[in-house]
Amino acid sequence: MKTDIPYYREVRNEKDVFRAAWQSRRAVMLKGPTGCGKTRFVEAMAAELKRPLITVSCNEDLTAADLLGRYLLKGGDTQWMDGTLTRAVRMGGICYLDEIVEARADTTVAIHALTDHRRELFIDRLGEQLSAPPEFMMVVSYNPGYQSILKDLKPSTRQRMISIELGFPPADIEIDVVIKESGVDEASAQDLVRLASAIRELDIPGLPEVSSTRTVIAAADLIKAGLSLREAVRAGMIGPLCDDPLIDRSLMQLVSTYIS
Amino acid sequence: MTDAEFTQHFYSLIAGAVAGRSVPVHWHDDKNYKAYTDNSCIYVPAFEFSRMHAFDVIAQALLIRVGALKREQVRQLLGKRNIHNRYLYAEIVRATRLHAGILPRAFCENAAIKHFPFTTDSSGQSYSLAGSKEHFPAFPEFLGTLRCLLVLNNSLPDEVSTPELKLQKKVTAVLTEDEQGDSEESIILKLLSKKQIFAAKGRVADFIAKLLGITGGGKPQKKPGSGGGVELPMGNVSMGKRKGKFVGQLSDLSVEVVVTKDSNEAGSHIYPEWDYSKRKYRADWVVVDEVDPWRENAESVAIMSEILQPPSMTLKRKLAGVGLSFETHRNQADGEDYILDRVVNYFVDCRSGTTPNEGVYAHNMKTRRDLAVMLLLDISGSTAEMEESGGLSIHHKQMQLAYHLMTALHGLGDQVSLYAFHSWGRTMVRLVRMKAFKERCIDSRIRNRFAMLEPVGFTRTGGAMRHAARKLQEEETGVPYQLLITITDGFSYDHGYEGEYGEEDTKKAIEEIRYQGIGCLCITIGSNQQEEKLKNIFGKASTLAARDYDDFIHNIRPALLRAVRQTRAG
Repeated sequence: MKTDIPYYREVRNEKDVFRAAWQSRRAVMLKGPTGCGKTRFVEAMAAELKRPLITVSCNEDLTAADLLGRYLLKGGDTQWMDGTLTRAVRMGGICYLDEIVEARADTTVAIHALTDHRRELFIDRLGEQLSAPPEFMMVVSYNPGYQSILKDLKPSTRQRMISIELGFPPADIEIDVVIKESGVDEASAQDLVRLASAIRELDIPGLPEVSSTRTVIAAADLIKAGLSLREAVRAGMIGPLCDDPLIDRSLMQLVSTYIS
Repeated sequence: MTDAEFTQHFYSLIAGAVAGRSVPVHWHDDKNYKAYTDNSCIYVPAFEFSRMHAFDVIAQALLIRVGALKREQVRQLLGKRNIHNRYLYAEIVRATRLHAGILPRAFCENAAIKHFPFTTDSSGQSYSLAGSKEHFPAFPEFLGTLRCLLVLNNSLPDEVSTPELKLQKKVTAVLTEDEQGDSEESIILKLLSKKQIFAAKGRVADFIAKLLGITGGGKPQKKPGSGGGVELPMGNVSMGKRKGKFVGQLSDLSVEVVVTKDSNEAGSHIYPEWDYSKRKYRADWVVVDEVDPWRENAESVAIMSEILQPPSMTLKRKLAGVGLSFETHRNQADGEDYILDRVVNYFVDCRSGTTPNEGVYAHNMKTRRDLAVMLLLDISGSTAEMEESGGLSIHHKQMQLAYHLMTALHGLGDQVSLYAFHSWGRTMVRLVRMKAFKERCIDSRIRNRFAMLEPVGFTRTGGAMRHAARKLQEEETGVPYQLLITITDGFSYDHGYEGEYGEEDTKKAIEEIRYQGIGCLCITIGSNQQEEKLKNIFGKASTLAARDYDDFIHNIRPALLRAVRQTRAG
């Protein structure tokens, strides 16, 4: 288990809310756009609380068996293998389900008994009922922008959790984060954040996402590694945004306006 | 794409980023003006193409962002040319200091902006400063021009009136020339701003009073939303004789936009228009812009609460069976195909002695929603007409209909998009974004847009429908059933788009759209337009002329099914 606490710069009171949820044995639902620091936040809090972190990237093919466990065939015998959720419960860790809306609803309900007053995990195939230790915590994350009528958290799931909303930090904090993460100079960090802030104001067809803090840091890393500002922004911020050649060209022109 | 078209597209991008909403940018070729805005679009001088106008665009977009060109403020500036530039300067500096975090460093550190010696906290303070005797630094060119009449023209309040074209022609022509003159003040506008001028009653007096925002002829102001549409032409008018009657041929006040054949890729959308008298198209005739909804004062909370109620279950049930296709359901106890993973797990469970899961089949059922609907809502001034018995206006009823259809279809899982439309001449057809296809939630952000709709302008239906159909096709919804549903009062009217000309172009547009495999449905509610006339105007399209909401509910399903049968898949 890592002992260093990953760098996370608090924006509002999210750390206090998380600690309070952990102490009161509540599950937490992190909401925010991609690249705003949800995963880094969970890593930082897990290290601060000195709990092991087990991450599951949710997808449509995730089954309850993946979370709880399954029998595997070994030679001529069957052997039980704990799923990620079962392991997290047994060791009293923090189980982080990333992008939970991607999982099917019949899989998601497997966590219900763990996230309400019962804090139990029933493994029907073993006939075992696990009680979660006090240190165990369930954390889920999702991006509200990806919601659709077909992919949404059920109210019965949502209301079992404490909600923490994260967004892109204010400019002054984001500049500090970029400098700390990449080591780039302040003037470059300011220009990158101005550009990202302007792109975040855009809402046009062909641009499904906006520049996240993650992409700003990626561009800063490239600058630090020796690339020119323009090349770093193209590779780190603009290229990942969209594939439309006209919008790509316009965004690069925007870069020329914003970055001298 | 030419350099000019790419530059235009880029300027629209930067304008949207700074203004905080979609703002199209066009080229203009009027040498009397630098860059300017009418609060919806930004216009940059084409004759200065060799110079980069990014700063000009940013300056105009900042004015939009901070609300520097609200009607009340602009009326105070009307005729006072000597303080226009000072006001622009003060407001743009104020906006820059407020929103420095989203602006390029080079703009914020431009000497003219950075070293401006005064600070204001509001448009009112900027106006006071502009009118004071304080010495201003030299006015930088990139701050543009203020066009008061243009801003006011596009936001005229609504009242039906029979225009007296000859007199209005003289009045508006004189006003326009006077505003462009060299002296510091417009003498005429200064005179007209005196209330005594309007002691006598008269339609022209009323027209100017509306423009200046004062009561005309001693008559009390009508309450907002009362009266009919803004079918008031203005601008330079030349008289012509057609069919024995004098008919005004209007050129709109705003701008002749410079367009080219590739302007579509640059962000402007150019469409032809059908001239039935010559039996041919007028190429590159109509310019359509997409904008975000905006008005100075949002519609009242009471009215919006009444309009934005959720749709009834009856409506949802009526829409539920429309546009369904087969889809595969996995993990079923019965079906046409095996799912290999599940079969393997079945045998593993058997061998391990546990009860196996019998859902090992995939089954095809007709449950997939395969309908993509583009809703088009007419918000021209004629829809603001109230019923004689009071209650909601046509505009409100249409808005409610659009909201219910959008919400019901979205709730059933269909792909839905809603745009409102109005126009001021062929170069200013506006499609107002209410909900785009890619917006997956109908939340407060979308509901707030309804409160920002204002029924003003005219109805150039053909251009709006052509663009809406193009959007529907380009969206790549990936579904076989595509519908364009137009909610209108049935009166197509605009500058150069009257009577049979407008009707024939609308009919032609529907023909083109159906040819592309898109079903058309035109809905009116409580309109005075006769049903036979509607069927004649909208041609082969499915038509639903509802007397009221109950009538609409009763007839929507057969009308929708007729429209679906017109689609390629139907």
